[in-house]
Amino acid sequence: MKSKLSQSFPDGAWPYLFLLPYLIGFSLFIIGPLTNACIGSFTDWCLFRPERTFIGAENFVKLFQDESFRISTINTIYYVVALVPLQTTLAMLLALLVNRTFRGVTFFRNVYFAPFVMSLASIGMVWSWLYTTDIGLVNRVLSTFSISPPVWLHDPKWAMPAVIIASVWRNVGYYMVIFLAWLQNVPAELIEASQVDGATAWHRFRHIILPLLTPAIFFTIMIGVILGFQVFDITYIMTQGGPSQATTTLLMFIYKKGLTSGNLGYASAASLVLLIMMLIFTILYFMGQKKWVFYQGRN
Amino acid sequence: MNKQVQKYLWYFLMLILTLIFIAPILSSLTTALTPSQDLFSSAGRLFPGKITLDNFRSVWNEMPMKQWYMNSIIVATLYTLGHLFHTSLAGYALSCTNFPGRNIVLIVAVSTLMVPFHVVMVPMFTLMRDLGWIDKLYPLFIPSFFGELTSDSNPKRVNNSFPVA
Repeated sequence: MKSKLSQSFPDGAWPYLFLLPYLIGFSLFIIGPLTNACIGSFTDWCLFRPERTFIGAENFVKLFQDESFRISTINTIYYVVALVPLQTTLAMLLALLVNRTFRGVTFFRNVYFAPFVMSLASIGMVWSWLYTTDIGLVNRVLSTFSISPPVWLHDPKWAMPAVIIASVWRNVGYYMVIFLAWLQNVPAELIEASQVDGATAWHRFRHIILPLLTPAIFFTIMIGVILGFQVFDITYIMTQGGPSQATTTLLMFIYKKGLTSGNLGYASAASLVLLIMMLIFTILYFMGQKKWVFYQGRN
Repeated sequence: MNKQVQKYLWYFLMLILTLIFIAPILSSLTTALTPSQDLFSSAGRLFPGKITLDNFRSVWNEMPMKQWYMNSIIVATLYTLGHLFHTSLAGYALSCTNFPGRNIVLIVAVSTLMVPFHVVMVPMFTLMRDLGWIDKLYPLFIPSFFGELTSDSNPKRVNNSFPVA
């Protein structure tokens, strides 16, 4: 028996030793806090006292009646729904534009990727400055086209679009790189064959390139939504969630309730609701995948 | 359309886009180089009128910039080393060796990649408080030696393990 076991697993205890750091981290920093958050969400857990008592689903009931939770959920969905299609489309167009062999094309690719390397905090600072009402660059540009500019970050209607524009500016380069990688995998013979057949540039894009790009579109939308639901830094720096909660996102709600007001149980309940929303999206999204995503050589 | 004309049009478009991408960065550089008394008269300009390094000098002298740089360098170095440490060990064990329970570890490890950091943000904070690590650098790099949920690197790691093609 022993010899049979050591035959099929010749490495003995070594793999466990290699896994030890990860397993320690997994129990201490992943599954531990995760369980703690689940338990905590059913208690009156508070930052300022050690003991907590079980209160059932009260946190969740209160959460769904909470006006500011409703607002921050809507804000987050607004952010994601506006941001993701914008950045995905623009990134794809950008990738199509820089997918050539002209001299200097690498320079342009790097320029478009540059904002993604900057830290979100400094991007928030720079864009707050750009959006300054009377003297900011954005409004200067707009006034030269004689558009009367909004007050951006101080207008509840325009604060969120302002944050979204800054986010698109930052993210588009990253998604461009993903599209570019897929574009460079498009087989040259397909393009040549279509040219021989006299397909127009539009037809070539619509019937050859776009289907081959669907896995990249699938991936960028998924990552865009997952990261979009977690938006925090940029709104925190640019608006602190204002004006009048217009840019308060779910994470900022969790942060304010948990670490500012000290209501840890309530914040944990909100973070679990966020997790469930993301899980539902991911599952549905993966289930819908085979309807429109085309994998080369698999379909 | 003429090939040459097409090429010039392409360059023109690329340059306009470059301006859009560069303008915010350029404007912050300009602001940094503008003397503080001219800040409001020259705001919104892409290129500075009068250039000064006073702002850099005063931020260096008035703020603990050296300390901040050291903090960032320490955290970035140790965090990177920590991730290399636990991921290379665990990665080797999972991909190059076989042992009872391998698949369970693999499935659990991959599925936790989908959990955002913020779900454990609150318990992590209380854990660090109980360890006495609040207002210290430890929470920023010690977990990286073992494995943790990170807020930003998830998608990229999912990307790598993602069976798209």
